[in-house]
Amino acid sequence: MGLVRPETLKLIAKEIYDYDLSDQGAGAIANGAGALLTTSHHLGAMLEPDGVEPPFGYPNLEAEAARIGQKGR
Amino acid sequence: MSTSDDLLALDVAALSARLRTREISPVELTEAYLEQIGALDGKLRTYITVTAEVARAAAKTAEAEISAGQWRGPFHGVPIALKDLLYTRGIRTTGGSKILAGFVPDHDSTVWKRLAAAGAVLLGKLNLHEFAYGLSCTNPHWGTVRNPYDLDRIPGGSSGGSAAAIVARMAAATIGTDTGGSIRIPAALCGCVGLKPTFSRVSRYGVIPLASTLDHVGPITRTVRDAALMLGVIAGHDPDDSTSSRNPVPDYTAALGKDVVGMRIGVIRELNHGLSNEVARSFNAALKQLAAIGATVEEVSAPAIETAGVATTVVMLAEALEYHENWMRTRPGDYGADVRGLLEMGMGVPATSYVRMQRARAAILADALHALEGRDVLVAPGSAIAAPRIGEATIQVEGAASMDTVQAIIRFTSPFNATGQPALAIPTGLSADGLPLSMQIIGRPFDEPSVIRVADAYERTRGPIPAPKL
Repeated sequence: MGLVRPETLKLIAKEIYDYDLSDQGAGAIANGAGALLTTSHHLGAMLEPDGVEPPFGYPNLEAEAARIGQKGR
Repeated sequence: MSTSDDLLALDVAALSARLRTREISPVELTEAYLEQIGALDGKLRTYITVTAEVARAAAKTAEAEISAGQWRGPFHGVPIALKDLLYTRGIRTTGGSKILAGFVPDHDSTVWKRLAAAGAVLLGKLNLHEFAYGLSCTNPHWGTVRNPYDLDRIPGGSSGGSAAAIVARMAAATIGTDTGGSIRIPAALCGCVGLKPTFSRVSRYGVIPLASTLDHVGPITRTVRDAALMLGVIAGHDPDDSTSSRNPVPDYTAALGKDVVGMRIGVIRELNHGLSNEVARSFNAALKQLAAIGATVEEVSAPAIETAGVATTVVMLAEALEYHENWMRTRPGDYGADVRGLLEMGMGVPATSYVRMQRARAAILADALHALEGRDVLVAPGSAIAAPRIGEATIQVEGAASMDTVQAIIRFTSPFNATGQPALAIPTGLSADGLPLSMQIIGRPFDEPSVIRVADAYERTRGPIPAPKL
């Protein structure tokens, strides 16, 4: 099941990334990305990660801010 | 020592003992390695940059220091090489790309800084799959790395130059990186040891990223004891990498030389099918060997591991594109076709999928930890197949449908990038065609000592793997 059409991908590539995707490339990517997203939906459904926080901890956020500050940005 | 061959046959642990007692000279050792690189690199394409003069100067310094009784530790005077993804001050760092062909960093990666402080001698920078984004090491810019056991086959990747250099005796130890299996896959296909430590155990500062939340840095070595020695040098918190762990670094060599009597080893059911006959035979023989030396070996199930690789892939596609976005806009023609294709595929990954797969990682790790309850480590094959031929896009495994070559390899390794667990690849023997076969040993987060203990005990009873004929 393809979730992404080649035309949509070409539009996204141009509008968001300012990148010209060929028809052939868009077709291949639509198939690949479509299959990948289908599998990831299945995995997400199987694992039921509702309520699970993404692994981006606040300590890292604070540490990165401190590191940027030390560099004088 | 008498001949260069004798010198090159020694692992770091053996070299170090002889360097310390001045039985071997770092200068003589470095020259032997440079000679070997000169003889074989045209055939294997393992190096992008050979730093001969840097190496000779460092070897002279090491010799003077050791002679003066100032021994810095097990890497003092030992010739090593780095995957060309790690920054080295004043030495070009290409990432295996055309885009960074002329890039010379003004600072060192933390990993190289620590190895240099330990007295290691830098032989050069090793070839890889472009920007570490692939596992064939068919590099359109710097040449295709060849598998030393069969020059028509891939070495695996992306750290293919690092593994090929080890088995071809073109460096005593090397550093690789691993985002979906890039340390363990080349170690498996080339027949050496590759250790992906726990995520955050080793600093990623000064390492060109592929996917920041999945990238790991670790050793590729001849022996398990060398991997333990090298991890001891490079592990530890780094203020320049906020994600690096503050957990204390244990003495990994304390795990060496022990038995496995009473240890419990779980064989992951979901990764023990779809194997070539030779991989299955070799893996089962390794399991019997572990049982014969006193471990309890039993099957365990970790259902999420079966498809966990998709979480790694989705996260990798999105994070890699974020890093490369500007170059994709300005220099798309300077990427190899396969890497450009993967970066383009990242444009089809919605943000919602990226976040969902990031959240799924905790559930996948929970599944793996459940499988580890009451057990010390898990094991799985390193790959479904031995090294495929260069350009072989699909492969046929006995009794199964034809399958994508990349998937036949990466499904065994990429789940442990999503979970961040330590995982080590170790050779289990050679196939009838003389190609290396391999097993992975996987531990709890930060339990590298158990992984090393089991791998070392297995390695001592397995015996040596015949070297390639080059």
